[in-house]
Amino acid sequence: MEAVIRVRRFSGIDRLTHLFLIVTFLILAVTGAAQVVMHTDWGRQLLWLMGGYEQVKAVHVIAGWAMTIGFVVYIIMALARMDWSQPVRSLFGPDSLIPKWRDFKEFGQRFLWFVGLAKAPRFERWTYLEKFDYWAVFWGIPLLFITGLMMYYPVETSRILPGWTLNVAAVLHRAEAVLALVYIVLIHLVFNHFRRSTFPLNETMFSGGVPLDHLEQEKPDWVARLRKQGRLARMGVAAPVLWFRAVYLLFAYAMIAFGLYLVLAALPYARSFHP
Amino acid sequence: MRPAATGPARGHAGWFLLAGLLLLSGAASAQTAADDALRRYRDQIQSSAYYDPSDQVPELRYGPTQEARPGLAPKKDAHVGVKGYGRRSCERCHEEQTNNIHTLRANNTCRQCHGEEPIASSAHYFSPMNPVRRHAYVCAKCHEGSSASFATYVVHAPIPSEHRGDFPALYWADVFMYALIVSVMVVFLVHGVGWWTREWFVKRKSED
Repeated sequence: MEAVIRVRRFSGIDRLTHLFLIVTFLILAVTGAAQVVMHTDWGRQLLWLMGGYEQVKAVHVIAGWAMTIGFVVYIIMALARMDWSQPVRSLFGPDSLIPKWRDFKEFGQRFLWFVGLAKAPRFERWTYLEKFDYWAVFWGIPLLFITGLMMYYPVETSRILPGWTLNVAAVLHRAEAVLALVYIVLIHLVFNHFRRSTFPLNETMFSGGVPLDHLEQEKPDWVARLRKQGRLARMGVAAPVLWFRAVYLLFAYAMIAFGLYLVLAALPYARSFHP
Repeated sequence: MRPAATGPARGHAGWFLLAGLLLLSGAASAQTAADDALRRYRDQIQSSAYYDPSDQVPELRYGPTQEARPGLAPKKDAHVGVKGYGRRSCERCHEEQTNNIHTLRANNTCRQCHGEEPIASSAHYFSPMNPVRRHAYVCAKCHEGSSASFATYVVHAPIPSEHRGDFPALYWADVFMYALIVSVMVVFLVHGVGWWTREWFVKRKSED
């Protein structure tokens, strides 16, 4: 009989990276929104709370640099964690986050499952949705960083590119930021934490582990593979202690509430987000 | 030796000299006005920027959406004939032009860039907005080192959907991002609602 009742899904580094991303993202979201709507009542309130336009702009830039540097460090770490003795398996094996044809099939199958036309997909380690969330960062951060850098150094940019590219950069930066905010709040947060099986909070990314019975329902093919390879017994993890659970529950709910507030408060000013 | 000219001859010479001076001064005053215009033009042209001889002098162009309207002659005073001009604020006629980060964030006034009266058409050679000097006369007031390329940034934020023809890069960037936002949100909202609903019924069934 298996003694494992919780399976480790994320390492300490993974969780720390996610935490770093939450904090930098929300700082960027609120300081960016405050700049865009600074001529409105809400914008003036945000600026007043955060110490004025110049300070908000400085914090936005520092958080942008921090996020980008963190992103580069993460890529270096991910490359270091790769099994270079088996690069092909490491990149395209079942533990890899690189999208495969199976993901597209599971995506379609799940839509059919919603309407009762197919069985629920038997997911492996990573679902197509987790892969989408993961790779969205690889598109979003470089785009926001490059366009942000262009706008922060406009004179220097215009020596390399025509000055009108700054207009294009503003459109791309703002639209990508809006996409990131509404996707993360309305899709990533709402459907990860407020489903019947995860409510009140999907704790996996905070505690690092997930109950085995839950995992067998969510990712049966991964559990089957771990059992077959005899790795499941080695992946057991203790349940989080009460104080730690209380801390991350409070933190997660504060972040979710803050994200929802930003989206809902920004709605009346949606036109202002158009350059 | 011939004797020197005496009284009457000297008097006539004086009249001729006076008439000559008057004629010359008239011509000179006309010349001064022309010189002033020429000097002003030359000064502004020559002080538009300094380029290192080793640099290629940039092409001095308007930014997208900023080309002078064809068939419209540039005016030294673009507001001649506007009724009640002296009593109007700029925003009263150019309200849509206030929607830009220079006005909203930096609190710039129209005059800070467009200058004092008379406000010439941007295509007029007197105008500080003319591409030959805009980067030096306007942009460089705040953006030290701005080049002619820098001045092609369109300050009065154009609405992308209205500039497919004259600013295609902006138009297509906007279309692409809108399509991305709408498609991602529609697909994943439908996906999320379907997931949430289906799971609700599956769990309830299993709990029963």
